[in-house]
Amino acid sequence: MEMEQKNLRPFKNVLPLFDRQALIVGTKKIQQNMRKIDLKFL
Amino acid sequence: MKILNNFVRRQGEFTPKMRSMLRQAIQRLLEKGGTLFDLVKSLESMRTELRGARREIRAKVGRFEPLTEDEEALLADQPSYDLTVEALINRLIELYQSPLRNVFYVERTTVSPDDLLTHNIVIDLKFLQEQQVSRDLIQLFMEFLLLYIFQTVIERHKGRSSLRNIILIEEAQQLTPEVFQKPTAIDGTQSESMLGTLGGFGLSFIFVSAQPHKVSQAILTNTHTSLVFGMSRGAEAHTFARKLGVAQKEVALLQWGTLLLTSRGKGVSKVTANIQGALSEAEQRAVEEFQLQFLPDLLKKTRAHYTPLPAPPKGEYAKVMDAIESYTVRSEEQPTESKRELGCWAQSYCQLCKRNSRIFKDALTLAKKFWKRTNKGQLRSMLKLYPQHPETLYQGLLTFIQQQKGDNAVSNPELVAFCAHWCLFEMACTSKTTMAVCQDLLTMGEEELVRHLVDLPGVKRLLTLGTQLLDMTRTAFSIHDAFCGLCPLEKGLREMFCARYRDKAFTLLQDEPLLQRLQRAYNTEYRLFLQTCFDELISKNPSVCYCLATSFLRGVRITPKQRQVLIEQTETFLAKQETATPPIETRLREAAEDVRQIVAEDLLKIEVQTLSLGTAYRVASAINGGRIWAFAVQILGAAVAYHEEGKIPTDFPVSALPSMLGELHRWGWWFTPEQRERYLHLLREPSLERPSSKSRVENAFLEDEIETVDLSVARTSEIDRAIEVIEEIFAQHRGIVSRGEFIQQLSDMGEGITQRVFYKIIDKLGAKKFRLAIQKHGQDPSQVRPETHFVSPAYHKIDNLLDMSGVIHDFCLQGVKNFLAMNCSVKDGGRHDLEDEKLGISDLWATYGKRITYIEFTTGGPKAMRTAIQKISKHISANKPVLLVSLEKPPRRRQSGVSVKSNRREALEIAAEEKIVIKVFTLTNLNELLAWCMEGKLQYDHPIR
Repeated sequence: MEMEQKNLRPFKNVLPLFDRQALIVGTKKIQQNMRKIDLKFL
Repeated sequence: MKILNNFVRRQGEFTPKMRSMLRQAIQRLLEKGGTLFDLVKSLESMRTELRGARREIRAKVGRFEPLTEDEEALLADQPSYDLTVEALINRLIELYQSPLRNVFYVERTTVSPDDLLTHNIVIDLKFLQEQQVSRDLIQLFMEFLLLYIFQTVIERHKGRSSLRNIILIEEAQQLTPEVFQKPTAIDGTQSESMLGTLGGFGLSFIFVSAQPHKVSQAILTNTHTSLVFGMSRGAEAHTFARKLGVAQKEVALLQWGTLLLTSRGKGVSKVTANIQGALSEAEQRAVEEFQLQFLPDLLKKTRAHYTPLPAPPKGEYAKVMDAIESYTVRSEEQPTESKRELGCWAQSYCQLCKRNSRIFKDALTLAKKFWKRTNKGQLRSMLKLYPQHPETLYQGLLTFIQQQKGDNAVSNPELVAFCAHWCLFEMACTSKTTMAVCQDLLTMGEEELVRHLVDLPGVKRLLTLGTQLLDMTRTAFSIHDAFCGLCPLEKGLREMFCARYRDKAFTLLQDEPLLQRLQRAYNTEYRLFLQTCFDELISKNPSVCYCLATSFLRGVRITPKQRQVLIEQTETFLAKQETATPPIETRLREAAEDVRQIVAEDLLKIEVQTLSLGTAYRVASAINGGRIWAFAVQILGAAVAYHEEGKIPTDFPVSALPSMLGELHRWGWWFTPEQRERYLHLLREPSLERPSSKSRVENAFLEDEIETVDLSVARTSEIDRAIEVIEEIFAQHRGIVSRGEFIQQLSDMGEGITQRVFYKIIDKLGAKKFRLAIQKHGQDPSQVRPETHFVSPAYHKIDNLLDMSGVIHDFCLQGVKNFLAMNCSVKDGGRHDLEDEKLGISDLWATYGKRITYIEFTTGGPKAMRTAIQKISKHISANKPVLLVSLEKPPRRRQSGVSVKSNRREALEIAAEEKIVIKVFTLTNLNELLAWCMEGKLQYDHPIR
């Protein structure tokens, strides 16, 4: 359940997302994540 | 629909091969630790590359060339999912059919990353707006969202098979920043590429907006499967269609369909509400039905989701027309209320009508109704709706013109001319139509209109097409007259004109004012004409001799015998005119003087051509004034040529050659390095028996080098004095002084500074350096005539440029170059700063311009043009043209929505409105021409032989 909650993060609650800082941080995080993608399955 | 399908398909998905390459690319990039941006970019470029490769292979197939294995494999490599507009619409329908099963509304529910790959998602930005989220935050969110989706797709989807889902963003104009023309959220290269790449994975983005043009240029051009749908009005729809590269009809269909879908059963009323405005309920209903009739393709697909409306009975459109009638009448009663609405309404109506030519005529009637009160912009968009019906349109136009004429003359000739112009040039109609329009206009006595047409860009085409126009003497005349001030005729066309003129010569020339008009036009044809008709003219109507005489100032060439007659006639005429009022008499006398000079020049020319250089030289030296230089150069050229062939004519005074060169040099003639080399060679030739071993001329020729080398050494008292003078002037003006003023000041102070020194000073000042290169000239400044002293040779050359009526003339070009070199630092391909220079140029020209009242340099943009026109409008007078030289900057990075072309076009339109002679030199073509000129490729091609 908790895991699912985590997965739902981006759209779970739209309004809190419209926090500028959160968006910027989120964008950066995604950028960083992209480097860690496990590409074995690609 | 087919085109649109092709469009969608062309943008297509990744093929299996591309997918595997994709994987490799991602792998490689991530290993190297590139950013997401790099990844996206490389995906994009790969996609483009592959697409290009496939295109090439297809071309190869088309040429029946054998393919390699690799190529065949690549060709067989098709996207697994055939993406078409139908498919897209089906998916859309699905999206709206079952909102709760597999559609997520972002604002109402939660979406997991997996859902992103399997579900359709609707993001209604209006909701966010209602929550008072600011626009830049919405944009930030969009960016974030794109990244997130991209990450998810890369991470989870693994690039294996196509996605099928749609992400639909409603009220997409929210992505536009409030500050207009800033990039939207999806304009960034990164976002654009991500959209494109996601499109490649099969994920369709659909941006729905009531103002699609506002959403983003980027979406329309770069985002592949991402389309923007929305209700767009008239011109907007057109722009939109053009950006997509498909027919407007198709886009309109898809737009309507999408809107019908997205408005989910609310029906067309919502869709059309914004244009219908004040329509009554009954009218609205009629319109709705009418519109539905024209959406069968889409309605077949969508009808299931709507309560189908009964098909309107035949003759229903008449009802609509009635509605429009009443609406039109009403809006005429309250014109301010709904002008725009009426325009929009008529546009959309016509758009619909386009599919039925019978109705089209009615649409035209309607159009005519509001043409009376419309503006150019509306009309333009209106006319854009008739691309397939030029003939009908032009019929309409003629009726319209007649109507207008019936009302109270032509109440708005510009508008009518604009219509006709549009019809002629923008609708790519046949030459037959063009002719028909022109002839009809002329038959109706609308010479003015034809002239208006001539004023509009694209006139060349008219003239090329409209040879028949020349049969109507007066018309040919007016066209020509109007034309002369504007742009140069092509050679063939010019000859044609001349031939026609000759036929009509005497009709034209019975009429002295007409002749004067013609004469004002600075054109070559006139000269040719006069040349041909001279004898008859002078014998039949001696009173035109003054006209003729002044014409010769413009360089009309006639035979020596004719010349003699002319001089005699003029003098007789002048003798008879003794009692005339003094100013006229003076003018006539001046004219006679000038005639003599011109005749001498003429003679000179002939002598040069017939090899008697000696006579030529004697004539040239007899001519007083600055005109000598052009001829002297010719003589020199001929001399060099003959010398090379080893046959200098015996009567040629070789000893005069150096002094001729000296004269030229003193006059500031710029020799090209090649010319200088040749002349130096000529001077050093022992067989020429030069008068002295170290002539002044040779020195003068080498002067440039000497000056640059000995700059520091050459500091004589003269330089010191010059610098003193300059500093004084600068002190007076606190460092701000225009060149013209500066020259004036210097010439007032005189003090033994020669012309060349002035040029040098000017040049150095242009570079904002006070280093002066001064060489002793041994010339007595008191003997230099003030009016010619500081006149740049470029002045004569530009003067000639105008005079030649566009004949590209190496002297002119060199003159322009010199002028530019002197007056504004034009660097090859680089930017040039005109701001500093403008004042100087204007002053110089205000002081010394004779034929041209004023010259202004500007850059190509409409804003600069407007400023320039404002500036020069003070200087416009009836018979002195104003020259506006537009130096266009090399195209810079494309700004959103504004292209260099449209800038230029607009600028030209502005200039045309203001009736300003405008010569556009782009830096590129100017340089090119100059390069030619320097290489001697461009021969001195005097149009008269």
